[in-house]
Amino acid sequence: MQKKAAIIENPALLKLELLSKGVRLDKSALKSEEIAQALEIGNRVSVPLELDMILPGNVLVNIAVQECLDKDSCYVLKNDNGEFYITNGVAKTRVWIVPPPKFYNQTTSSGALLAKIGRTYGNYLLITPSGACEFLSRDMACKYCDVEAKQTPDKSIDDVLETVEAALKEGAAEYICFNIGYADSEDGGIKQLLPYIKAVKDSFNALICIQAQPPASDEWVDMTYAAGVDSLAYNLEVFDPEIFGLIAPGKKRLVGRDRYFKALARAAKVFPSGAVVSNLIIGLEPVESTLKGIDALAAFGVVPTLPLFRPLPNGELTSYVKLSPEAIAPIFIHLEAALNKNKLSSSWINHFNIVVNAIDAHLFGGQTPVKKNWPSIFSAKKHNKLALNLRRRLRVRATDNNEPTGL
Amino acid sequence: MSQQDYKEDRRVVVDTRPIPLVILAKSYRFIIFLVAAVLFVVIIALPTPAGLGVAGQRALAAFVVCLILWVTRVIPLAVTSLLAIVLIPLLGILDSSEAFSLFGNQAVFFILGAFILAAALMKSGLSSRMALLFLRRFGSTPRSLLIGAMLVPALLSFLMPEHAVAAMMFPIILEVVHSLKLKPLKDNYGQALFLSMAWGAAIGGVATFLGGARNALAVGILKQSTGQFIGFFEWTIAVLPLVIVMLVIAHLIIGRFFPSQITDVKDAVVALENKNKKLGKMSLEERLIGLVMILTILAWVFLGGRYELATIAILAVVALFALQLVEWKDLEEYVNWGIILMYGGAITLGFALEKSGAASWLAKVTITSWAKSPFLVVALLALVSLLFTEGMSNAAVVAMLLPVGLGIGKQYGIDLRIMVFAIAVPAGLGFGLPMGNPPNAIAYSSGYINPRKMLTIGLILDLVAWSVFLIMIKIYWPLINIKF
Repeated sequence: MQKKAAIIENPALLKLELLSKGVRLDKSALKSEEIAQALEIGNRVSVPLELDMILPGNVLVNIAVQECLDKDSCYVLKNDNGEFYITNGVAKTRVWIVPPPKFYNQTTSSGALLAKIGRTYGNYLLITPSGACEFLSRDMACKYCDVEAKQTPDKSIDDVLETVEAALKEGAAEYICFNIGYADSEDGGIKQLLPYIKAVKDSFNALICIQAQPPASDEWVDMTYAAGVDSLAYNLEVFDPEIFGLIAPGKKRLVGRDRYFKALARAAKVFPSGAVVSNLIIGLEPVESTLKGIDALAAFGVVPTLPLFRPLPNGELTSYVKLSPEAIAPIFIHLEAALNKNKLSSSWINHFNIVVNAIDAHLFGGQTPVKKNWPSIFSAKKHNKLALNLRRRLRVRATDNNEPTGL
Repeated sequence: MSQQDYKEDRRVVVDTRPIPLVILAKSYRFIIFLVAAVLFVVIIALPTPAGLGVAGQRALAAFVVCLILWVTRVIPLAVTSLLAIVLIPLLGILDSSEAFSLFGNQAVFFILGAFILAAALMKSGLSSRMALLFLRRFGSTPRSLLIGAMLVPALLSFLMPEHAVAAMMFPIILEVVHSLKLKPLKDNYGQALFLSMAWGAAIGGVATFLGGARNALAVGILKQSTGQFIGFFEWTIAVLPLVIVMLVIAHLIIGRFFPSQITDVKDAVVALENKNKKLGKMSLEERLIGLVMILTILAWVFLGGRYELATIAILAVVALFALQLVEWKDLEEYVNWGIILMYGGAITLGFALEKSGAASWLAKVTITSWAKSPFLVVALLALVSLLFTEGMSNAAVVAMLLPVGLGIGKQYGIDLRIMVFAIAVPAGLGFGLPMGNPPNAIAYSSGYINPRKMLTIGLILDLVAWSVFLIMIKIYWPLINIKF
């Protein structure tokens, strides 16, 4: 009982629980306008319902709404006269529902629903321009990945631009994040993103991040930065070499674990400090291995991001390492120490609400949350766009291959 | 560069040094322009020295500006040359019609013709066929394959620009190296093959006007400035012994410093055979291009005295088009138009220095004032040319040194052809650095060559080349009537 109450009272522990277990909606919650809006959007886009929520201490979280899998630790969202609470049957805590962005309901000139083009996570607008991934087409899919190998047409640049414009205008996003699957070519798939990146950079003063697989040559890391990308993720996901091969066969066979480290090391030199990140999924390998991974990545100048493994309904990973919040909390404390030791800031992912970040980690020790007006926590003003663009202008050099060297 | 300027055909490099260093490096261009501008103003504003007219002083100012821009390459070489063409009339050294007409120098059109002929050879695949044909004949043992890797590009560089030969040979050598499973930087034989290709092309490139266009540029400057001329055949006769000796020495040096650890090259022979099979039978187009090429070379050798080399080259180009062997778009891909502009400007500047008396004056105040014998002067100029070419464009070395060299030659009464050879030939023999020669850069891009080893051995070869060149001046040239 005490343990359950302690989790509800600590927003960081609660975030961990909600990320891994999701939340069930009480009848009272269903009556609220915010939830109705979220349900409507979810139905229109045909995706499982997710709620953006703010926990006490300005802790952001994106929670899957699902039926309770573990009857002993269910979390339920309730509405009491317009105020939302989360309860686990023992204790309850006040939460705030972030209404879905209004732009979700708009359509592009071509008739596409904006919510289908891009979705917000915290102040990130996540866009996947193409569903193609050679890991899937070659039957080497990552075991934690729930993307299905289906041929969907690529999103048009015009549709993407209209979505970005609407999101920026509404203030629903500050980072435009592109996600791309693996392509077995020297660029690793980044080439497909370049027209989108160029179009967004040409039209808006926005910060751009990408999630991709490492290219075969470092030259493409440099080109990615030169093309206007501000933050980059090559997600390793698992540090242990053996488990890495089992969980992510495509990554191991087509990219290679070493290539992740080499590309990340180059990217950490090329991009601003803290702007290169890599996922290590908690729960797919022993804690000791995750801790080693954190140290290794941080030593390279890479900020580890630590999502929690959410078991897939029909996934293969039934024997993953189930960890209690108390067991997970020290990992984040270790993360914070590793970042401090390597003088790395996690500011690029502080508002990415599907992972626990270093700010949240402060709360594990029961520290007082940083007082903030919660709408302002979405602000990315920390990243001065002018300074970032100036940095790129200074650092990037183009060499003209046509110059007759030495003739 | 911003993301807006991003183009896939441009190579992007991110400077990861600390920002203050990056800013300093970025200011480099500005500092260079500033230095060039200050020197220009100072030279113009200084009292005119005795023995130098106002036009000469201004020509000197223009020369210094171009020299700085050519050496530092803060703007493309061709653009610096264009600047020279407009600076000269602007400063009143020559009138504008004369300055611009110098661009129509026959050397420029000879080079244009040579580039177009080389483009036809490459586009048709005839050059690759020739390379494979020769290389297959050599490829029975590691030693003989190495000889082939040097001799084939050397011979091809008699007919085509050396950089085109190296670019063409590169994939063939790469295939050989892959078939032998040689590891970059580790296997001596891989390094030896690439260096043989690069140094073979560079050495062969000094043999004719076709191999290194700077040779034709040098002769163009000589003719424009003094009216003297060196014929196609005459050039080759004068330089060929150096080429043969250097090929032998380079091969021995490579063999000495990169002892082969492999005993069998069967896999390479198979790879070459396969590549040759893919080419199929020789097409009519290739045969006709080969015929035009042979007739052109014969015309250069036997009719070079009666007709301008450029006239023959341009007629050959017309023949290529008349026979529909090339299309204009092929030329846009293969011909380096920038270097043609560069040569035109260099000739104009050289003529301006000569006519204004700046070249002679510069010669007097530099080398002539202390060099005691003509031989010493020539030896020194050859060494300067050789060392400069390691760090800067071969053509820029010729454009920079030759006007002064001709001035010096006149002071000493040296046969001016010697001055042309002394500057143009060593300008093609930079072996130590990737930027010393286009073939070096191409070979280095393979990733197989250890730069430190290349520098050490290349500098040894530089000194050998210089020594052989001096021996040739002393012993061989008097036999063919080229004397001090």
